[in-house]
Amino acid sequence: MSVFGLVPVRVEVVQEGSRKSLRLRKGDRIDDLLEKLGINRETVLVRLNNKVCVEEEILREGDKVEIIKAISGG
Amino acid sequence: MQRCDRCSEDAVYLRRYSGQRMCSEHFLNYFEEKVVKTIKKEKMLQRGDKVGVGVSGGKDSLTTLHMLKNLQEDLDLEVHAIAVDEGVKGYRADTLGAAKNFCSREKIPLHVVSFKAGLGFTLDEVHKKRSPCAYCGVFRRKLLNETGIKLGLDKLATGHNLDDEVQAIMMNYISGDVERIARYGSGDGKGGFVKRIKPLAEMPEKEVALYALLWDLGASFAECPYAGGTLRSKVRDWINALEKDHPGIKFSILAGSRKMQPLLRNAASKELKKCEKCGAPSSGSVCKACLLLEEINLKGNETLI
Ligand code: SF4
Ligand SMILES: [Zn+2]
Ligand SMILES: [Zn+2]
Repeated sequence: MSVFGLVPVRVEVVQEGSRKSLRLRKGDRIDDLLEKLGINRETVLVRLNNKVCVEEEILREGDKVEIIKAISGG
Repeated sequence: MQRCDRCSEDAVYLRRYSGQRMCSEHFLNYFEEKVVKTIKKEKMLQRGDKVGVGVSGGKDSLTTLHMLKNLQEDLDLEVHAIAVDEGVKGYRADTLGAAKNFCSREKIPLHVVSFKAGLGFTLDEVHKKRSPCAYCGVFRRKLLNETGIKLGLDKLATGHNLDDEVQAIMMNYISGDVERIARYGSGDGKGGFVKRIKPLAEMPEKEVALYALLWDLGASFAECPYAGGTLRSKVRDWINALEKDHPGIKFSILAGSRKMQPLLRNAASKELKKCEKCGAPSSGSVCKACLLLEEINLKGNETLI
């Protein structure tokens, strides 16, 4: 438990072949995760536990978040 | 999970500019209806048209091809796919593979034309003098158009989406290209150009990506190695940053430009001439493609397909 009494939520983030484990605040949504990663939600699609979803979903312990690039260059 | 506004299924998309949440089925319906509406509104297709689709193997061109294939029976269309291989190592092979797989699965005839065969060089070989993008679009358009004429096409469809359109509009503003702004998207089709259509011009890129993903079109998401750091990519990031805070701004930019066009057309009423070298329509006496070819020092009036 952190000093502020917040229980962190751990999620697995998969992005362009790389995967990492991140700690978020309880109640954080996909929106918040993207913001923290510096990703504009207009440029990606997100799969939560293998299902495409909206960015308003609240993340829970153990969730797998796959970030797919929706815009292409060239 | 968030739910669809129209049924109780899980939502896959929130269309922020209207506030609607959609499940996969309702999203696909919405998308297809809107594309068909755009095609009708802009009178893009006529019954019995022979249509070619410029395909790269990316989500935009495969979605366009998929949509036209769906309309084929209703409109009695003959659909062909044309892929241009610019010769960019480590990029085109991947996207062309996706195009080939899709076309063979959907039984669509695919014509591949390459810079190498058509112009005598690959983009990798020629990009020394200018940025590769300065040649890429001009020559790609030239080869697509020439192939379209050889195939006797009535229409040439490309996968340009709303984001592409809005980026082009802003790029033209930035360079003050009044003539380009005035002519943009007016679908030429006269003397030497196959009429161009852009069925996805009103679909945001994110929606096209979602459509291609949900249909599992097998689109390649490979990026051209030359795409990074260009002015266009910065304009793209900037517009997306605006869209995030002001949903619907891409549509306003498109609508605004369309409103201004008739006014600009009068101001910039330069008639298109015929290129002295290749006969293609051109604003100068020699077209852009021939100017670039001259610069590269190659004969530009012959194209193999
Ligand atoms: S980014 Fe690549 S595909 Fe796009 S115009 Fe430039 S060279 Fe061509
Ligand atoms: Zn629904
Ligand atoms: Zn010419």
